[in-house]
Amino acid sequence: MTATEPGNLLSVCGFSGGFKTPSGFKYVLDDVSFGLRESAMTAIVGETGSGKSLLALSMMGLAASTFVKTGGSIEYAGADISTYDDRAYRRIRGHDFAMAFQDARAALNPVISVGRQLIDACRAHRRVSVAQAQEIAEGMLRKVHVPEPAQRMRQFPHEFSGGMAQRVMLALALICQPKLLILDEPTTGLDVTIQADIMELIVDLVSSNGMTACLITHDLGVVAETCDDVVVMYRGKVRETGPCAQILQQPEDLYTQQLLRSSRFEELSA
Amino acid sequence: MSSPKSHSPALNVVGLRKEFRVKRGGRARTLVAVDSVSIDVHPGETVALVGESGSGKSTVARCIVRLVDPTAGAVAVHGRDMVGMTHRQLSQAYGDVQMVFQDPNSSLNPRMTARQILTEPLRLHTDMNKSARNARAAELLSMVGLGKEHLDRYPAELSGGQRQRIGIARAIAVSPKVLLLDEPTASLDVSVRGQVLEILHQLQQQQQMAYLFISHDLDVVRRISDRVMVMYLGAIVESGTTEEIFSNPTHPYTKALLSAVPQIDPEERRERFRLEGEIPSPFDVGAGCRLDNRCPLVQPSCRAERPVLAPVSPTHEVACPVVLNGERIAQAV
Repeated sequence: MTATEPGNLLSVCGFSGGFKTPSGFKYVLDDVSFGLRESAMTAIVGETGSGKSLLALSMMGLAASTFVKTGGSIEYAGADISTYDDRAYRRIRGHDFAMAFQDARAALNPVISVGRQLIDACRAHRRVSVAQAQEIAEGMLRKVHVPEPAQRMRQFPHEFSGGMAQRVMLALALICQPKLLILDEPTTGLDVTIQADIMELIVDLVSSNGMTACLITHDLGVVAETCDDVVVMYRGKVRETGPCAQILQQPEDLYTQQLLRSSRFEELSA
Repeated sequence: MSSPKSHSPALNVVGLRKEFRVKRGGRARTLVAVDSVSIDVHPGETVALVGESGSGKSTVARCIVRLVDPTAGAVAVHGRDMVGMTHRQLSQAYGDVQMVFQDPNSSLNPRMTARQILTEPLRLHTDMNKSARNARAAELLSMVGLGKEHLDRYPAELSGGQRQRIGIARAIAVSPKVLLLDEPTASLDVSVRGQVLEILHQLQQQQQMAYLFISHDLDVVRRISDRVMVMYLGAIVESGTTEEIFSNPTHPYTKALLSAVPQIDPEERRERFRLEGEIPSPFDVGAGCRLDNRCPLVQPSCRAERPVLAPVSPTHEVACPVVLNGERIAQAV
């Protein structure tokens, strides 16, 4: 899987950057290259500080304004979107790309009803009336298995459980039928049974809509059960990329091997 | 050092119950957070208390050390009753029972150095002089794999894994008999998680501490515990040896929980055992089984009477008459 293969929806090529600090420039992403295969689900895995979330935000054009790109490109639809300004990004963000964040209850606007947020997102990118948007929003909530969507539309994020809020977030991300869905730790902090339900829903939605998805996670179990491809990151560098089954069963990279040993508790003496 | 399991348990909890009065819409209601929970932990043994958020597992730990006062039930640490203790007696008892908290960022005083954090319990619980306390602090750091150079650092100058190790070092400073571990690895990366679990294991080997390990991470629980107790909405629904729970999960909730854990290796995967919906509000629990509205095996009798733990084997108990009757029928055939 090289970054520039034709079957890729999005390709990250030699992407580098970091932050200015009092003690000098600190690279957080260092020559990162990989591709997101069209209609496949790709995992980006790594531990705290590996740069995986910053990478996701960079793809969405949402990296902090203090982030300085030093090289490379993010290719989408024949253009380098990493050079886009906010205005240009706004045309693809939400419409072509959508993102679901880690803590859904914190990521949703706490003072706007869930229905209003869905309707606003819908009308930002699609020429529909409020009534039509309302219908689409309700349908979306039904699709993500939120019970009693009409009543739930009038409620606020704090009235939702963590799992239900994550479903709302997915509805919000999918309401404009994006081509690429980026999921940043969508189930971290949720209970395992809820996590399993949400991951099933994600896989179902992604495959039934032929979407391309990128899952940022630290949980190799989740990766193994849901993803097609995997990108392993460590300290801002890509250590290994390839099909999930191959990387998880026969990793070549030493760090990947270490991560798998830790995940399987192989270093425990007991 | 090793004591056979027939000896008196280091931690003995019987019929623990905790109610909270909660005002909702101006009306005070009673929330039963923990309902008749009984736990024994013997020296050198690790008992895991597993359950999802809101199951009451942390409240159990907080009741044991009287951070909240239990409504009913008995707690004995090393044979001494904790529930009736005065504050003065309690602070003495904390020499025998200590707790490691989930979030090392909020459980360590940010204005104290590692040295101050580690010598404080020694000052309170031992008659060591200052130089002995300092020597012990350095020794404790090395026990958790940190060096002398960390002694004068503040929590903010340490990584998450290092902070959690300071939390463990503080808890074991006074050589307690019982250690309550409330999700000690939940906030750590997998590589660091392994180190922390290994340190806990080594310490237990050396000091024969009794561990009550509270966790929602079933992979961790499987690797480190001798026995497992599964909690759902305040009650224990199944308990058994780790082997029994993981190879023969019997309660529908345990089955659902275990089958939801994502596995790296395909041969480890279980077929999903599904429950309806999500955990209900603890206010909405009826008189019968707490799982009644979610369970695929529900019978009319489940809603009439609250199931109690009944034996599957001498070491394995489950609070579900439906599966128990099923097992009996299966054995008879």
